[in-house]
Amino acid sequence: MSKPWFCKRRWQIRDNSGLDDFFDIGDTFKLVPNTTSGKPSFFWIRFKTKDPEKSKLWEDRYFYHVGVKSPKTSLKHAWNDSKDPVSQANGVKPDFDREGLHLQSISDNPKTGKLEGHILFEKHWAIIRIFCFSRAQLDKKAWFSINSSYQVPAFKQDGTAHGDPP
Amino acid sequence: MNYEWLSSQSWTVRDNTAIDGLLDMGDTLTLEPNTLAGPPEFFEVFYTGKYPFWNGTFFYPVGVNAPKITLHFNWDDSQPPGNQAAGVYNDYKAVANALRSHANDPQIARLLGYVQVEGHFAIVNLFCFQKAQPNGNRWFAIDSQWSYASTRQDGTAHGDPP
Repeated sequence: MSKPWFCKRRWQIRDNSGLDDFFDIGDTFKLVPNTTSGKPSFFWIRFKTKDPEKSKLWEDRYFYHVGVKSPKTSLKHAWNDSKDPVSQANGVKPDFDREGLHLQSISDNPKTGKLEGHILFEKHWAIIRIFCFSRAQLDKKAWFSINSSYQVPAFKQDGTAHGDPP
Repeated sequence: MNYEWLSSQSWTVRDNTAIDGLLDMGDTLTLEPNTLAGPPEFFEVFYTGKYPFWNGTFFYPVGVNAPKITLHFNWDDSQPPGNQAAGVYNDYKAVANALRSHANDPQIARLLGYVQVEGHFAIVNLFCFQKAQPNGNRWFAIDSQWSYASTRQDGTAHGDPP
């Protein structure tokens, strides 16, 4: 089996709202399968971050592909990669935020297909879910959403970020 | 990994040393598969005991290589951990510690889930074994990692069927 489509590209953070202790806008990551022969049983995440402290959070971390059904997305816009989140055209950021929040709302459901892993942050674990979509944006670009559940009932580093290929 | 044998199995905690804020002696966990047609994608936990946060949690079968263990003694379910025959407690502790040392290896086959304890997540790894004890009883070890640089609720408990 060839490696999954989401492993064939690097992904870039376009909006890190809520998760700015984990990575910065412009940081990239790649998902590397544990094997190239047969179905991968997990994926290493290889983050390229400018901040060495943030980089450490992702060192040697891995994600399992879990769940049953892949969620669907319905983005109505294309993200302009040359602009920061607040400079996007009218309606774009709310559209992507809404989609990210929707994915976060279903990420605890064990049936929801996703990549799931955990990282250590300030001595406790954040549960990280990544959703990758091909041709998700209006311009047919791929898109991913990454969300974290860290602390209940506080909201520190609980949220959703997203991006697409460089 | 074939986890179908785990379907609807109940497990009773026989030793909760180190994670007594997560499980109590005699608590039971039953693993209900999401499907009976083919290998389950996840198991839902049905729990009886002191800590209701287990109910409604889920465990995914993950990893590739099943760990191998050798227990030299049977656990006497009628006795608390401190009253087991000579050598028994240490035998089980050694195996549980060996499993704990593998718990962060993504290749190691186990059930992986999360529970919320005091506002934070504990990463819980569940290792279940058929015919693990010399008398043919099953056995499980449940490992929790809650807080780095602290031993609170970090450790391994174990047990076997009711």
